[in-house]
Amino acid sequence: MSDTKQPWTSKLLKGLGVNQAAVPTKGPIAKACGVALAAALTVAMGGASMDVHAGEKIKKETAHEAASTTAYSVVGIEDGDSKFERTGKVAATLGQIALSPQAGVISLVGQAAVGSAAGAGSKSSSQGKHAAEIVGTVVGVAVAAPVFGVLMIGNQAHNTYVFIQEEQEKNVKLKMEEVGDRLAGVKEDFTQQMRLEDRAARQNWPEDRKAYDQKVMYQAAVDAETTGADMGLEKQIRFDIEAKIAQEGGVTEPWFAKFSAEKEQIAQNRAIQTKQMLADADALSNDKSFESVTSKIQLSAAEGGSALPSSNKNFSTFSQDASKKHVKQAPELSR
Amino acid sequence: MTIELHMNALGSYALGLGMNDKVPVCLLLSHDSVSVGGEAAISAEYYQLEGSDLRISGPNGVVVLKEIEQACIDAVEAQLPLVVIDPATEREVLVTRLEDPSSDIYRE
Repeated sequence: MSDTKQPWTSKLLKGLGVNQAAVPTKGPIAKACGVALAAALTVAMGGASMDVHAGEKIKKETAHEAASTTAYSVVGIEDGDSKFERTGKVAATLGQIALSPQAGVISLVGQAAVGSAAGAGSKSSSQGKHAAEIVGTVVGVAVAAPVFGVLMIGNQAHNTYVFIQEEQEKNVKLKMEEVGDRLAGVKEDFTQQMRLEDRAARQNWPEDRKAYDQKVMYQAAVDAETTGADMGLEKQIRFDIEAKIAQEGGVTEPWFAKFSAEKEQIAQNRAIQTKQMLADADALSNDKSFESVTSKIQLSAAEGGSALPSSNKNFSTFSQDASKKHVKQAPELSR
Repeated sequence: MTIELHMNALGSYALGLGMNDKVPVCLLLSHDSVSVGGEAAISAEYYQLEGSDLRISGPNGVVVLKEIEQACIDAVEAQLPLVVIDPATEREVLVTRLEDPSSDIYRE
């Protein structure tokens, strides 16, 4: 327990706002798996560092034997106990764990398992060992209770879990109806949070990498503004983030600041280009052989100046040539 | 490409629901909460529901959980993501539902 390393926690679960978990299990192996999942969750949600017992693994081959007694042993539940007694014992165990410092959770649970096994007589000494192994590894509080439809609810305040009876399942089902909205919100927040983390991480890039990134982003923004072309999803996301930050009066990345300052000029240049393109199209319309083509070009120009795909080969070739010509002319026009 | 298939019969895995104030927000699986295929699960890319079976696919194989609970099916239908965690190796992965079955590349 001398390990002082920051315990690993799940960014995903945190991001999704998970503060409880329900684990329906059926059958003894599933129960063992449920204990494993409970343990993993306890760790993932900041319950305890796995380092302490990282060398130990759940023994799957003994899961059947162990699972039928482990969970009971941990909190001292016996087969004859009523539901009320079970609940009481779970609550008592939770109380102990809640009072102990985080680092002590593992040993306390382990002791509970061993202690329970020791007190249960000779028959369960081997089962007690399994209990200690499993619980030692997995750090969880599990009450088997009726096997079907058992739910496990996490209590983040105490970094512990407890199985709760079937009636809770109804709550879950009712709440499912609210899921859609809730999830949309959570997902959005989560995504936004991850993106902002990525953004912050970029600040720590080496200078040359940062400079290159700035250059690439600036150029992409300018190109998109100039040609109306798609920036690509990743760049568009970054663009939108900066736009939002700018809107909120925050400090944007340098490329965005530079682009924003020049944006108006770029838009003006584009307008001039579009105008020129229309004028060229008009000029072409004097040539009768291009008459039908002209209207297409005008439409194209009005939609942002990109060449329309066309089944007419001549038009296609012509229009490409024409747009190349305009691109070349653009710098002169903007002066 | 040979795709390893890990079948977990009913009763040999634990699939949970992650909730925020009693509202489910994701499905939950840990590396060791399946009898077989933990390694495939922790590196999965997407999942699908086939009848009442959950099929979790990725480059390290396919994990099938037979006959998942109705509450979990509801979660799948609500498009909740699946979070697979492995605290022992400090890994975690967000697995989303594959909408178009024909784009499943991990199928023979």
